[in-house]
Amino acid sequence: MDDLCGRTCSTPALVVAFAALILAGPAFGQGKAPDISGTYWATQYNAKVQLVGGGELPLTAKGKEAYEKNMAGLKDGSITDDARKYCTPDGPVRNLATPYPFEIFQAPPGQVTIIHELNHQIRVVALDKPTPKYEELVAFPFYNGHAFGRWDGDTLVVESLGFNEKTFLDATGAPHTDELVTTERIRKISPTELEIVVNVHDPDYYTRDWQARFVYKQRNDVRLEDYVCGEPHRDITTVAGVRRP
Amino acid sequence: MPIRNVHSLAVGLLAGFACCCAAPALAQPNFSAADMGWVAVGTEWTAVPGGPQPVKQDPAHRYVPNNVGGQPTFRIADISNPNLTQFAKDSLKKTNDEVLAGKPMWSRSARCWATGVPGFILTPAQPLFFLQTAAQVRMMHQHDNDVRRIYLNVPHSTEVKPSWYGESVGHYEGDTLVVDTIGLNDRTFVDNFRTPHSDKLHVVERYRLVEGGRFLETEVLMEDPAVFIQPLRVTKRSRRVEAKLSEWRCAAGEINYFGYDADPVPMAQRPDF
Repeated sequence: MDDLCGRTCSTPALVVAFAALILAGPAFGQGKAPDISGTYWATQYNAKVQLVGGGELPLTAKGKEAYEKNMAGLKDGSITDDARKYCTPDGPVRNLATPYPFEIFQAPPGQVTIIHELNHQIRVVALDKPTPKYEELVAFPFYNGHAFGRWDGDTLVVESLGFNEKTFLDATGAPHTDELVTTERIRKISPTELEIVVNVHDPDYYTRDWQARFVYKQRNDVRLEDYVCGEPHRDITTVAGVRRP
Repeated sequence: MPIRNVHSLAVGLLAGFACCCAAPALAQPNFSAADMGWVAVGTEWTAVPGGPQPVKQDPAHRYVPNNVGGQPTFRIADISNPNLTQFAKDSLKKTNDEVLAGKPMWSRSARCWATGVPGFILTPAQPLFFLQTAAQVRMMHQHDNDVRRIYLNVPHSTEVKPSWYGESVGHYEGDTLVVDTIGLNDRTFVDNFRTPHSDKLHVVERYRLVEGGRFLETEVLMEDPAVFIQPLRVTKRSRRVEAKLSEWRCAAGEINYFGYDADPVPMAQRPDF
């Protein structure tokens, strides 16, 4: 039983933890949270991220330079789009533009788990934990960052940070730094539709925060499929805006 | 001493709480928590007494795994195993010959390919996580963040298109999760010797907690007349670890250290979309 506790764990702490587990009762974990679980699939795909309110990306001079470098590199092949060539995770914002279905599970207790068919990405959203500081995560950068969630009424608010710099915010090469912080507001807007509005905060590359909005159809009739890089995959041409080479 | 007793009582209560989700004794098992994963103990199958043996190392060649001292070697399968068909022996001999000729035969998981069923649970070193709802189970391996999907209390589809992890349906029998898988493609191996299988492979896995929940034990039944003369029944234990599922990616580019003639890693020649 030592592995349950170890040397650092005091008896009062254990009793308190035990009492808290009992008192929390059905509210512990997913008990009273709104139900956003299900399988979702976009009906629209945009290679270039569409800003809420329209307009162009509010790039700083450094951001503009990075974007131009990405666009030129993707065009002449000097920069590899790893998400499409090696099927690495799409990264922040671009992962929301996926033309493939994904699943949301409000499980295990204390966690929301988002599983994407595309590139078998798994996003683990830790619920009701304090969001660490950038400095605490900079040594462990993830493509999709580290995600921390809390409920705000009917909306799951997910703050993500601790990203690596290997991804683009969209398929055209919109840049971000490793100091990017995204805040996603995830909610059902009808019994069959999920909305995610993401706020992008990356002052080194963008003069102000900006938002993008994504809407998905609930498709619990769809089973996710295995996704192995370079194999033929499901038909996604029904998603408007998708072009296969 | 009294403090020690209170401590034991508290630990007992906590353990009791953890187990009370499983009380009475044979209630549905819980393999899943945000901070709990399972790491496979060893990379080979264990035979079930009285049944056919799984493929083992050829005793004529010493196998040296990583991290035990000495130069690691690749596995050489003992193809005298009497439960193997000629097809299986021929396939294993080809692999053995390649290893003996110097080809680096890293495991398929090390080369970033989906491991299939039942190879998934032999993937070493990294934890496997479960997610359980009333209707579904997800098995999520930290290795390459590979996912298996299990649909509970439903029949198999009438037509299943072969895929890397096939179609898995499951149900609980007392303290055991039973998973039945068909529709596997023939591009994975059932063990780390590269014992092949056909697309007729049928796998039944029985998952349950043992030793007070410190281990997950999986009994695996493999039926594939193309490979096994009699169905093969084996077990594997995985140790409970405190861990959170991390993003983990196997291939972030072409991995070919030192220019070895290794298996390629999965890669798209042109973008999917």
